[in-house]
Amino acid sequence: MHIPDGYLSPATCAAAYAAALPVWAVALRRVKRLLQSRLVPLLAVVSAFCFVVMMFNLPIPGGTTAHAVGMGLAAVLLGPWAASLAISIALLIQALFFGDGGLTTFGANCLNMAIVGSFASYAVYRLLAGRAPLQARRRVVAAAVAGYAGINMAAFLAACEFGLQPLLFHDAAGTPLYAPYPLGVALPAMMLAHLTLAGAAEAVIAAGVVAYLQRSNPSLLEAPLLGGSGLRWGSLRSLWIGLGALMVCSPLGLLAAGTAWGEWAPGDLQNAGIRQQIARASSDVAPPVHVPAGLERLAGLWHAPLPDYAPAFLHNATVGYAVSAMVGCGLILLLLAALSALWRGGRSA
Amino acid sequence: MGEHSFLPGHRHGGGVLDRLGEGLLAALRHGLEADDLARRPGLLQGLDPRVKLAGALALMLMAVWVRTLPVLAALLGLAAGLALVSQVPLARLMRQVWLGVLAFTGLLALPALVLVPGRVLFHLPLLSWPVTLQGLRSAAFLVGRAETSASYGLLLILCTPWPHLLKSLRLLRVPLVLVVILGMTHRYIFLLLHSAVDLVEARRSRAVGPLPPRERRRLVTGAAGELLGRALDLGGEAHLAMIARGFGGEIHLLDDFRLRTRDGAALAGLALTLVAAWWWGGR
Amino acid sequence: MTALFDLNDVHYAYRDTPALTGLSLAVEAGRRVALLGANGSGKSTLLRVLDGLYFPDSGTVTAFGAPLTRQALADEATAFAFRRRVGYVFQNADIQLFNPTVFDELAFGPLQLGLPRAEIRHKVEEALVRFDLAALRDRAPHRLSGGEKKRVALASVLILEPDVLLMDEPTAALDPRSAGEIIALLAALQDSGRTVITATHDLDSLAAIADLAVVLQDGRVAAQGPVADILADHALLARTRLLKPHADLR
Repeated sequence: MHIPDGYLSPATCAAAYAAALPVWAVALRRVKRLLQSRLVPLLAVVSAFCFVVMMFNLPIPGGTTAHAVGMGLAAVLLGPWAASLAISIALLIQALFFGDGGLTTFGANCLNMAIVGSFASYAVYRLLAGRAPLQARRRVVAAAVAGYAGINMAAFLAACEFGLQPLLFHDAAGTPLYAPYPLGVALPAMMLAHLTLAGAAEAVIAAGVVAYLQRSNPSLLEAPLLGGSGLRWGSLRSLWIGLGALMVCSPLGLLAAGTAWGEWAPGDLQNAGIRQQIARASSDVAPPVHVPAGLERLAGLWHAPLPDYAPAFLHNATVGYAVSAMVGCGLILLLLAALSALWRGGRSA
Repeated sequence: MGEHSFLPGHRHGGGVLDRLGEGLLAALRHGLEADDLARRPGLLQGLDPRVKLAGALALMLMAVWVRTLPVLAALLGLAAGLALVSQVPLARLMRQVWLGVLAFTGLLALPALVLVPGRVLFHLPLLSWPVTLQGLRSAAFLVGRAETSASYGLLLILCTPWPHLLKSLRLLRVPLVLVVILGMTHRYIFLLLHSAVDLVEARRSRAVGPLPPRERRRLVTGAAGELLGRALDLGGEAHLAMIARGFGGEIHLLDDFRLRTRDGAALAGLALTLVAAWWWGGR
Repeated sequence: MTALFDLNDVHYAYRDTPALTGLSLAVEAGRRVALLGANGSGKSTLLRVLDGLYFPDSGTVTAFGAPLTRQALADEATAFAFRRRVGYVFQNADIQLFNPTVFDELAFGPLQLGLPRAEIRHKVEEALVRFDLAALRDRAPHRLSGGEKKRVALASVLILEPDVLLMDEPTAALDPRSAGEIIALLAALQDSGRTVITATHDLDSLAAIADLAVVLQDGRVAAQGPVADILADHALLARTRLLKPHADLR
């Protein structure tokens, strides 16, 4: 889900940069205070590590392979601030040197994956792992859920960014100027791909590495290597609330919009099996020959009330979007609360 | 890696090791070719890196901003022209950008032809889905913007030695410490990629026959865990090596960038292009 | 003559693994010393103690007549003077070379020591020629061969013209020809009056790079003396695992 250039409007890109900049600044200051003169070499090696992990082709359950961003892994091992920096640096080298992900959209990519992904993963891990012993199986499960939640938060954000583009940026004739699909298409397409393949890859790498370190080098798991969040649970909750608020605000044009339909590459499309997979994963935007009738109807529904992206509809869509964002956030929070309650119950029993 | 990239399209499937090895080789080759191209005599190669960075970013932004297709096409044409006068063969642009972007973004944009509502141009044969003018134009915008921006991105990296490009990031107020970290990260990526290939190879060579998926997962994640340990060791050792040479946390950088007449001319040309694109591309 | 380095009953352990166990050693200025010892005998640790990178758990280290401690090096002026006078070539050139290009690598040390920019440029260009690296000026380290990396590492340290040169296995993992080139470079340093301390277990090239040999075993000094005497003591070399038992040294 590296958003390429051209998918998001300049205003969206600027908003994403504006949101990411203060986080980068605070993160750099915090990590520097902790590492002092070790900042340069240590941040460089962990960023390089993140980059290399992004190149791993992970066998995931179900017999296929996928790539992970490694945000869950990085957040669990390094702590959220350092993970944000390390993944941002890895993403910048990917964008600048390898052309993977755009430069105008770099801010949005970092906001989604490096920042929101890392913090969401870290919050989930801390919540689920609690004070479990270093060798506990619970830590492995917590890491898996953390990776899964992190990538899906990031995908959700990216889908919102994409889905807002046609609403906010179109010409007088109604031509979408950037990512052309509205939320009703972008959201299910992105989430289907990430709730399955990409989510599984993220869970596999985070859980696998934690399990490996439990056996071989448990001292690396004692505390986040490059500093914790510095936030207590109370303020972590406010982070979630802040995130929710951000999402409510985003339809007002504060947020970027976006693209990535999962992680398939050009070569994959020549492969019938993978074509099918894509089709399954993103039921709608898949190879056009197969656009399912149901999806067509869905898209029709979405478009029906807006002959010309009328302002009235925009208003409605904004409200609808905000509600769905809130519901999504709420669901994730509820799920987490339920999981941790279950665990606590299980331990005291 | 993600959707588009300057590296050849990767395949899913295939061994873990094959993929890593391929990735390493492709990354090495890309770096090597960029290094060599950046040293050829050409228009872009002769410019100050800061001018190139500013120019590439401005043109990318313009390609993302314009609202008329002809101006977008002109910007893409300008990228092709700049490639030609900088000894970057169009075949390379085609291979590293145009085809990949077309395959990914082009495919992704196809459903927009029928999904975007508007004036119906014609119906698809057999399926009778309506193709709309708005859908066609929106797909063209998406593909055109992605192609044009990626072309400028590739030109920038092919015509500027990587260390110079990093130093010119100072122009964007990127903190000095990050510029140095980026340089070291890039350096260590190659080192860690080598390590990763070795690790996976060593583990796989101990296994007999094809591994069941669960074991393959353990192999890859184990290698990643081991790699983290090595990376941290490397960071600690590199820190000592830096201290041994007088490093105390202060960062210093030496660059010898100097603006010359041709840089001034290039900036003037850039400004003219941007004004023209803004004038004709605004509506 | 007073000793340049004076170590007295130095102990150092990595977590729980002891590396130096009561090591005492004096090195006089201008000497060329080889530290001999099998893997794990404490050679590298000793070099790092001498370079003020590790500080002993107990025992004392004196360098240039002043105590070499963490507190002493915390003072910027002292650290500046010490780093300028002592250079350290790491065994693994990949660790030593952390800059994007050969040019930046050579400029790193002088930049840290705050030399004027024009002087740095001059020094770097000079060193590029002296170490036959001019053609590799803008190369990235991952595009260098093993021997080239070693030459760059050596140049990046010698550009500071240190009084003392510490080297860890300068010819390890090099093919014979590259190793020969490095040895020739080191032998050429002989006349500079520099103190050179080299950790090695390469007995063949010993005579070219050192006058004195110090044999380490289990973290302390097992023997020291002129290179020729040590090389002749086959029983000692076999006991300290530097020679295969009954091997013929020729």
